[in-house]
Amino acid sequence: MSTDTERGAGVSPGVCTAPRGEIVRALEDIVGPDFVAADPSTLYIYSRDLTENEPGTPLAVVMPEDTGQVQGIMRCADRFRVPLVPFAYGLNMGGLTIPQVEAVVVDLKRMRRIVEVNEEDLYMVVEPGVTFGMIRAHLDRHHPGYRYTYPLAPPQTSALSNALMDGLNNMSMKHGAMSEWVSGLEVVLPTGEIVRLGSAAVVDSWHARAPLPDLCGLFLGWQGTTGIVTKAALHIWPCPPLRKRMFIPVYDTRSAYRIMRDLCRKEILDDLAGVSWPTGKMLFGARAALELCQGEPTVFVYGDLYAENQRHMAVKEDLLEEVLLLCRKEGMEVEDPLDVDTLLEINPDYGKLADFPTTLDFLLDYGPGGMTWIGSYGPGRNWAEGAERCFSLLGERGFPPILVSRPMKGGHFWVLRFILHFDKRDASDVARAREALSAMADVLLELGYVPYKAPLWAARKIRARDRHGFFPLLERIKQCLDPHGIMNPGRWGLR
Amino acid sequence: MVRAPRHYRVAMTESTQTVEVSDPGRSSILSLMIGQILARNLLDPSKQALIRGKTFTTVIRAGRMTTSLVVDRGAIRVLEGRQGNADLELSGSIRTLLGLAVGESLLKALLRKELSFRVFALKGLLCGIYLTGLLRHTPLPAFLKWCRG
Repeated sequence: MSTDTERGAGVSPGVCTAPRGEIVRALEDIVGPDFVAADPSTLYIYSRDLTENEPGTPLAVVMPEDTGQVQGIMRCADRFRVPLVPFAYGLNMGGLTIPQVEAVVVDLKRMRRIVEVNEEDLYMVVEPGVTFGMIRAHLDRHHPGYRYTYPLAPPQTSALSNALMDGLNNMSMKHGAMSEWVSGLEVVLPTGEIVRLGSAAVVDSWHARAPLPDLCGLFLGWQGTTGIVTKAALHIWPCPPLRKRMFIPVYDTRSAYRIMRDLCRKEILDDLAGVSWPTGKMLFGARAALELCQGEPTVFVYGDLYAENQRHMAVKEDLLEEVLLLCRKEGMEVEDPLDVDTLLEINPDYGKLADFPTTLDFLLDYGPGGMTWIGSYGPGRNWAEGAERCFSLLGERGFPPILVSRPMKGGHFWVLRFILHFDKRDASDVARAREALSAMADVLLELGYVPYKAPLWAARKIRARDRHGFFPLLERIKQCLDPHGIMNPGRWGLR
Repeated sequence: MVRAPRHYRVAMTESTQTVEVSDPGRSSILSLMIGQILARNLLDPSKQALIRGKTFTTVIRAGRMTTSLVVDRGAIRVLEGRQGNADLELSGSIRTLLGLAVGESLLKALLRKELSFRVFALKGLLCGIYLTGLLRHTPLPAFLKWCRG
């Protein structure tokens, strides 16, 4: 495993021979000297993240302000044959912005304009530096009847990156992974051209990817290996006036799956997800040295009911109770739904689960500093087995079974995401985390669960299972779009 | 792993008025929730007075979980599982207990059989009155104000 994660393993180094100073001066000419850095302390910050992935120091960091500057940077990189790594906030949890070879990191957080919000056609156009927090604040203030979808993640994460990387948010249960929310892109190609994809390519509107040939797929899920996306059109939705968040303790994993599946198929909830007992307990105030007590629920299912009026809400609540009643009749043990607003009356800390985006400080604030995950999408039929086998693997290695999960797109596929904390200062603990991740990835792939936001080591495992020409095609497309191999070389194992 | 302290205090109003959840990492969500409810409610001096000088043990059951409240002259310890000789046992779903805590009717819950009491000692009945008074966020009824020590 450790050899798999070695930086740049299997990556042909770039052919850049220009001195660093010359490259930095060329970049300064494009964005100004204040927005190029090559000092060790700045490079250190960009060389690593929270995860167990090996650090990799970049050659320099550049912060463009607009698409024109990104185009200039791309042309400069092409001229010097220096690789580029696109970066927004670096919170992807897969080491995906750590350079695999000596590269210039293109930090896009100065590009933070919400270019357009179109209430009539239900989309907004955003730049890569726009965070979920900015979107939430902007919509709440200027478009209060509309909503975007938010992750179980801190507000300072990039909404565009999340969409490009197939993340999942609170309305993914209804509408799928975030790449499906994209209705158009503006991209700077590795050869320096600026292109628009989707309806905005030919008309003055970003409403849909159909009916033109869908080229957005050339940039969705590619981990920044085919170009730099400078604008994305993302779906927004009307926001019904009433909302109730429910929290349902369930006593075993298989019942939790059935309850989520049945609730999902009733189409009464806008969000539906489950967290395993350690997260549930932390939410209830426990912090460390967690143990499952006798008779304690093992999964906490939570969901959002939205309604136009009280009558509408009452019907949805009745349907929810009906599903639970039927499950109980089949012998499943499940508690009555708890209204999160009621929990909030007891302790304001429950607000962490009341609304998204949210910072789950009890998950993030881990003293020794290491946090990682393996997240995967797969078939519901193997969900419970995947959860149980990975819980065992985690337990055997001394990790608490922290799971975040959700049915996606009406239950067409499911998420299994396991979170691990480890001590970054302790090499043996880092190795323990890597070994656990690797073992879980094997189990998940065996059960049809494919890791998303796949780090390099996971990409190699995925690639090893390709029997149908998928990765060779990926190579050919990459070669066509990026003939000099300057875009994020190494990701997905691509040159 | 970072170790949590074996005990922590979820609230402290006066030096003798505390709610202590024993070993929170190893306590069930029922114990944690009851601890939070009591900590919030004991900010009310009239509720503090209700248990001043009293000693009793109550067992609370919800779903498959059991927790014990040991009231000892103004201080409350929340212990996982059934501990000691209980004077009273209270059973109901988590939702019913939560509803009670935010002011829903005790009588309705009893009539609907969503909540039940078992009294093991003579003082158990009185303990039940104290306990429901402690769990509810609403001000104490007049007769409980009279009962307090």
